Amino acid sequence: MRLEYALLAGVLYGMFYALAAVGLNLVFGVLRVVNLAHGDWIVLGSFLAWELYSTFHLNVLFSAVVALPLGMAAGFILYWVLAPRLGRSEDPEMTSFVLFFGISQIIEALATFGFGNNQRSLLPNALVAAPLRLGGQVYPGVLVASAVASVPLLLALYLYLYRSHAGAATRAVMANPAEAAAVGINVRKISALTFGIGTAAAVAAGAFSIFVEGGTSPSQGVALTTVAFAVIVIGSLGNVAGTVLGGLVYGIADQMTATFASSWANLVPYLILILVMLARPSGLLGRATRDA
Amino acid sequence: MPDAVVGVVAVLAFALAPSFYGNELLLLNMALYVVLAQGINVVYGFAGYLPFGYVGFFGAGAYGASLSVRYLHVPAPLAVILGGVAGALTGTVLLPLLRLAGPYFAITSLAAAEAIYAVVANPTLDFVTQGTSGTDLASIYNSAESYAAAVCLVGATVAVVVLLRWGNFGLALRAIRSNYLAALCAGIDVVRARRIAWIVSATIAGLAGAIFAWAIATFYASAVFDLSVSVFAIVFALFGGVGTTAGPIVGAVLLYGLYSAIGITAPSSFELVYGILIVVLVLFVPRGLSGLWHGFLQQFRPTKGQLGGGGGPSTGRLFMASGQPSEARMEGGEEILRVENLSRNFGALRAVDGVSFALARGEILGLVGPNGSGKTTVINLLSGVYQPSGGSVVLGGKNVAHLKCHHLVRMGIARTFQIPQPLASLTAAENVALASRHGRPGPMAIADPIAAVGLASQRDTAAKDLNASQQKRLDLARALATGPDVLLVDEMGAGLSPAELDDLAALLRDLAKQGIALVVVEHLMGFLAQVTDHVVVLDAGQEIYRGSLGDAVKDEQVIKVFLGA
Repeated sequence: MRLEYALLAGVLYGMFYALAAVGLNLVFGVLRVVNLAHGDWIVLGSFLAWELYSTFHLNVLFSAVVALPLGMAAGFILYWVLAPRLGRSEDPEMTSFVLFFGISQIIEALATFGFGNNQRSLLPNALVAAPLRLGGQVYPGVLVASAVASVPLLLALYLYLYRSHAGAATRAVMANPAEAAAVGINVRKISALTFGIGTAAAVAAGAFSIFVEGGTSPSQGVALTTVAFAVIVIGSLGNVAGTVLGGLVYGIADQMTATFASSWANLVPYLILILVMLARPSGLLGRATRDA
Repeated sequence: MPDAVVGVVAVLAFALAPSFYGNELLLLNMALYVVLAQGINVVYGFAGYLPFGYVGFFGAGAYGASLSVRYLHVPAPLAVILGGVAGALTGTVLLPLLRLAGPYFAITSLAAAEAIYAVVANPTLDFVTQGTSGTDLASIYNSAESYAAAVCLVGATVAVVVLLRWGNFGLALRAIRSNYLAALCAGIDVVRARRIAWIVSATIAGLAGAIFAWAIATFYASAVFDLSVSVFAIVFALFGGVGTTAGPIVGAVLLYGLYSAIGITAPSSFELVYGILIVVLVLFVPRGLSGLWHGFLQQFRPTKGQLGGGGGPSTGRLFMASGQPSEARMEGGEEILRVENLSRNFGALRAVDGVSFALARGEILGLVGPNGSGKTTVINLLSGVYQPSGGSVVLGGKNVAHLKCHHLVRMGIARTFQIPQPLASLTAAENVALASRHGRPGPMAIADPIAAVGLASQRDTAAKDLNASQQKRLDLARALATGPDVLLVDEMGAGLSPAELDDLAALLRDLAKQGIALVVVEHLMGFLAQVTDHVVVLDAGQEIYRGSLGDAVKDEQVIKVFLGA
C-alpha cells in the first residue's frame, strides 16, 4: 500500500516538477545558459498567488494564468537588458552563470524586503479543498490539482515547439544558432521569446509550488533551482520532452525516499544530480550535447 | 617581489589588528574569508573551476576537527591539521567532479556540498556528528590561539598563491586555462595539474573550517555548511580579482567589512548590495578591482609594450635554419616510427582505415589527400588527441597507440595545429618555456626555437597579440621546444606568403638533417615538393598511392580523387 501511494504521489509530484523545470531547460537549450535565478522566479510566482488570494480571494488557478503574461514580460525585459552584454565576454557560459547568480541574489533580497523572511503558506481551499480518494488512499487535492494543471501547460509548450513556426525556429536555434541565423531566423528575437516563455512557466509553477513545497519563502530559490536542474539533467539538457521524464523520475525517487527513509529525503535531489552528471552527463534520453 | 610584500602586509595587519580593534571574532571571520577567497582563487583563478559547493570543504574541516577532538582527544593544533586532512579527503572523494566543466561543475559541486550537509546534519546520525544538536568544543576553546592560527593560515595561503602565480606549476595551470588542447600537446599533464589545485584548495578550506570550529565554542552543521560561505568567498574573490595575489585579500577585507557594517543587522540589504555588485562586476568590471587598478596604472606608463611586439610585420628571415653544420646530429637511417594498420571510426564512418607507414630519423613523409581523406585524423591519432580504434603505433620500439597526448610529447612526438592553438594569455617566451619544461627530457635539437621560427623580436608579446602567421610559427616553436624525435606538421603552409613558405621549407629540411622524422600534411604541392619527394596519398581513410611526389601527379587513381572521375 505504501509503495503504491509513493508511486502515484511520485507521478503527481513529477508532473509539477516537470512544469517547474521546463523553463530552465528551454532557456538552456536556446541560450546555453544555466539560469540560476530560475528558482527565484518560482518563488515570485508563489508570492503572486499568495497576494492575489489574500487580497482578492482569487483562486490560485487564476494566479497561474495571470502569471503567464507577467512572467513573459519580465523575462522579455530582462533578456533585452542583459543580452547585448553577454555575448562580448571571453567566457560567456561562465559569465552568464555568475551573472544570473547575482540576479538571483537581487530577486531574493527584493522579495525579502517586499514579503518578509517568514515562510508563507495557503490553506488548500485557495486551490481545491477536497482530497482525492483513490484505491483506498487519500491524496491531497492541491497536489492532484497542481499535477493536473501542469499537463495543459506542458502540452501547450509541446505544441508550440513542434507545431508552430516560432517553435520550429526555436528548435533550429537550439540545434545551431549560427546556422539558424544563416537561414534567416532572427536569433535574438527567438532567444528573447524563449527567455520570456521560460520565465512565464516558472512563475506559473510558483502558484502551485506554494502547496507542493508546503509554503514559500524568499530563501527557497536556490533549492528550487537545484531541483529543477536535477530534473532537466535527468531528462537531458536541451530536450524539452525529456523534462517530463526527468520530473517523473525525480518525483518518484523523492516520494519513495520520503516514504521509506524519510530522514534521507533531503539527500535525494543532490544524489541524483551528482550520479546522473557523472554517469550519464547527457541525461537519460540524451545524445551527447555540444559544448556540454 | 611585490606579491610577497602583499602577503607580509596582510599577515602583519591581521596580527596587529586586535590591539586596535576589540571585536576579535569579526577579525577572525575576516581572516578566514581572506583564506577562503584565496582558496577560490586557486581553484577558479588558476584552474578554472568555480565550486559553488566550496563550503562543503569548510564544513568537512570543522567536523574533521571536532570529531577528532571528541573521539581522538587530540590537542587543538593537531585537530586543525586533521580538519585540513578532512578537507583534502573530501576533495579526493569529489575528484570525479573535475570531469565536468563550467556551470555543470559549479552546480554539481553545490549538490555535493548539500549532500554532505544532508548526511552530517541527518537526525539519525546526530549521535555521531551532533550536526543538529550542536557540537560543543568548549574543551579546546581558546580565542587568542585560534586567532593566531588564522593569521598563520592567511600567511600560508598567500604563500601558496604566490608560488602558484610565479612557479612552474602556476604557469602550467594558466596554460591549461588559456588553451586546453595546446597545453596538452605541450606535454602538460592537465588532469594531474587540475587535481593538485583542487586538493590544495580543498585543504585550505578544511583548515579554515577547523580554525572556525576551534574559535567558536559551539557550532551547528547549518552554520558551517551555509551556502552563503561559498557565495561570500566567490564574490570576494571576483570583486578583488582572481588570478592575482592581492585581489582576493582586498576583496575579502573590504566586502566583509561592509558586511559587518550593514549586513549582520540587515542581511537582505547586504544580499541586495552584493547581488547588484555581482551584476555590475560581471557586466562592467570582469577583472575585478585588480583589473581596474592595472588599467589605472597603465595610463601612466609609456607604451613600451607596443613598440617591441604587436602583430606588425617582422623583419629579416622568418624561419631561420640553425647555423650549425647539418652533420652535427645526423642520425639518419634508424627507424623511429612504425605505424601499422591504424584505424579510427567515428560512429559508422571509418575516417582512417588501415593506414601503415614507417619513418626513419631524418626522413620527411608528405601526407596528401583531398578534404576529408583522413590526414588530420592521422595526425590526431599519432599525437594522442584521438585514441585509435585499431592498429599500432610503435615509437622507438614501444607501442604507444593508446597513450594520451602529454605522454606522447614526453616520449618524443610533437605536433603543430592546422588552426594555430596559441596559449593566448602567455607570452611567446612562456609558451616555449612551458613546452621545453614539460616536453621530452634531454637537449633540444634547436637551441632557440623562438629565433628559429623568426619570432625573436616578439618574445615578450602575449600570444593573443600575434598575427595568424606568427601564431602558426609559435605553434612550431612550441613543438620544437618539446625536443621531438617525430614532428607532425599539420597544414602549416596555408596562409603563409611565398617567401615565408620558402623559409619554412628550409627550416623543415634542416630539422630533418638534425635527425628529426617529420610527417607533413599539406595541400600546397609546390611547397611540399620543396620539403620532400616521399608521399603517401590518402582517400576515404585508405592509402591509394605511395612513392614519389613527382610520380603521384601522374598516377591515375590520384588524379581521379583530386579531380573527380
